Amino acid sequence: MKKKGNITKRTLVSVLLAAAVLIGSISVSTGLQLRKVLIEKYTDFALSYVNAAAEFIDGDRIELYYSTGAKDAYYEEISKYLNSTADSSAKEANIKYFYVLIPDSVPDSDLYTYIWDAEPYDEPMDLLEKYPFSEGAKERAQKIYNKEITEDVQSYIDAEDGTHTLTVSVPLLDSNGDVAAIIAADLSVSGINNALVRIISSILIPVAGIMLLTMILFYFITKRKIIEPIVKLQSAAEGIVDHIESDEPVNIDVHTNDEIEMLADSFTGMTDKLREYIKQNETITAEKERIGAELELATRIQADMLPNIFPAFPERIDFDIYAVMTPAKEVGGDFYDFFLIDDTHLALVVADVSGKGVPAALFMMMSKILIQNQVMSGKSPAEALEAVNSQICSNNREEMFVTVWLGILDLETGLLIAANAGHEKPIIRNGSGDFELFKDRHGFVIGGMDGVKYRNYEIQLEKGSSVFVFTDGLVEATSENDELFGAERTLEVLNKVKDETPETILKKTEEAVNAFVGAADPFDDLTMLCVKYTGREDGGENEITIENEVSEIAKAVDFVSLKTEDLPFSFKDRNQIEVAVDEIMSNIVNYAYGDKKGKATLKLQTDEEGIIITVEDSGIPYNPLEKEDPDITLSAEERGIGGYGIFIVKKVMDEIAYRHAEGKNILTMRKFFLK
Amino acid sequence: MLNYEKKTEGSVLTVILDGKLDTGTAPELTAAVEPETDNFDKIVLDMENLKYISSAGLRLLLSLHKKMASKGGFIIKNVNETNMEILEFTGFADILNIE
Repeated sequence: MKKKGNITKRTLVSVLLAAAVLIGSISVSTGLQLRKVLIEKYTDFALSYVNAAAEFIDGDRIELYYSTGAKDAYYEEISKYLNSTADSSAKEANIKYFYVLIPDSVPDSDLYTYIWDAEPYDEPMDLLEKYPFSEGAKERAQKIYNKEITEDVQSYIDAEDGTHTLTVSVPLLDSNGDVAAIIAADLSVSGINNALVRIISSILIPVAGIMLLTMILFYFITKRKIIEPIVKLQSAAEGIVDHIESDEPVNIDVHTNDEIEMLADSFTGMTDKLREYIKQNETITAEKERIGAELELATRIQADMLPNIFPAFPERIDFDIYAVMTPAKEVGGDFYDFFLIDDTHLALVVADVSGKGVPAALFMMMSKILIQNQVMSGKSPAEALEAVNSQICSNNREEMFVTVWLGILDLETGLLIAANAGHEKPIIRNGSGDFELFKDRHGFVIGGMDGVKYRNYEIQLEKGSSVFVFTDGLVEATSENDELFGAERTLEVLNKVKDETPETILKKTEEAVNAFVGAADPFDDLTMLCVKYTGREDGGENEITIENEVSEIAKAVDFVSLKTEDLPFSFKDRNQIEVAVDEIMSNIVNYAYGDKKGKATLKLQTDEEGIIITVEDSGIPYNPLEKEDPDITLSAEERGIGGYGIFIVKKVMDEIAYRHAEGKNILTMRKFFLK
Repeated sequence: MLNYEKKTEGSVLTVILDGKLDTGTAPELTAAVEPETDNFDKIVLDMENLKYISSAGLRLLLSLHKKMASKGGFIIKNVNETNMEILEFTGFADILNIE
């Protein structure tokens, strides 16, 4: 909403109101005071007249006039005197009536009797004419007669014409000092009001004029010194918001030489600071985004560090392995690892680095590589851990440490040799029993102290055994009610799915943990590794190696033909397997080594579901599965001659996988038995 | 291992195959049959006793088909289940004349 500036209007209205109140109150107080003074003056004036008349008139003669009603020369003389006094006073004191009266002595009568009456504006009353007292006047006349008061001053407003009248009365004494009559004068006070209006207006007009001038001056000063600078500040503020990102200097043209100019200067300073902060903020935000992107990349690199393509060893039927690592933060400190040391030894690692975030992730990377190097060099788990410990301790100023469970499984004999550096106990299912916590001997954490010794322990696994290793993120997963998931629950979940594949076992366990944790924040990384040892079937010689000669291909085909002879395959299946072997070997012979000599090895394994054929060569890395399928809708003329080999293999075999490891192309194919 | 027998009947050459038409055997059969495309109007491959055919064999079939297309044609016959399936999923069944 756009707001309209109206300080000017408000100021004007306030000043006007103040002036009105001021002028009003001056008028009223001056008027009242003046009126009081004037009325006192008039009263004194009237009193002086009636007192003079009281002195002048002979009180002893009143009785005669009152009783007889006869006028004599003295009476006429006094009449003249009163009339002339009233006339002459009319201009100054405005005497309307000047009269001598006697109240009726009858108690019930409200009348009084005129003795003399002089009225400059009206027909006077005659001797002995009667007239009623106005309210209260009779009682006061009585008091004068009783000499309780020596004068009476009353002012009243005529109900009919609204004229304001002042009446003064004094006693007229006889020679004995008794009251013979009352002499009174009525004065019109209307003249006073007119005088008041004149006086007040003569004061007020110049005052009002001066006030108006002052006001206008005040208004212009306010406008120029306060409102206009404020408007400038306001439009400058808007301008700054609109052009906050420009480098144009802000210059607010306010030179009032007072607080407003100070405000404008502060405002200019504030704008520069504001722009500076905005620029800083932009830099910081960009930096944050960059760090965020790098963290994401780091997370991916970390994830890629761990073997995370499953099935990890599709050509191996003697064991099945699966592992998961779910970091609580972007990058975690947990890790798992597994790798074949040679054809018959599988290394298993689960570890938990102290701390979290990037430092833990870096430490984790280092630990993983060191462990793998030591294990690959042929050391036993305990020796490997000791070597890694001394490597880490030699340069561990940050005093980080890592707990590690390291096992090496002999895939021929099922003997598991393991060592534990302060890590969670493994859970082992030996043979067809239940998963049980294996109470192993713990060594000290890696990185904690140089020269620590670790001890190997051995477990003879029967075929069908499973080993489950994890980090504390599993047993210390916390529900919303602050309960720990614990080893009991872990065993319970594991034993429910103990006959499933390692992949299913881990997925079900993770589901159970997630359901348990609910809406609570995952506290720690969750890492689990499960390996199921199935062992090898005794199949004798199941491998053939050929040279890269076309004539050698038949050897491999015949080998497979011989090996599959007694297996539950149809005639067509056997032909298809042979075609597939021919195609794969043909590819290797023709392309893998270019013009050079080379070898190809074919291994054949059998399990309860079918056969697994693994073909390895050390030639140019090449994933045949990435080759595009030929367009089988093309006409004969449009067709090329290539691309059908791998396509046929994909079609006739049930599963096919490729990986490149240790400088070898390893292609694995599966064909299932007849159902 | 592949054995083959050529039979001539006027301008028609019939080749009876026995064994496997694969990487090892395809070059030999190609050498034996391809030169004949100029001498005959029609070439028939009898695949009754052919155990299987690999992509190398398919290349020969495609080549013969293209060469004979302008003349009486190229025919394969007595195709077994294994080979029919391969011909079908590679799209060759739609191109070749199969009896």
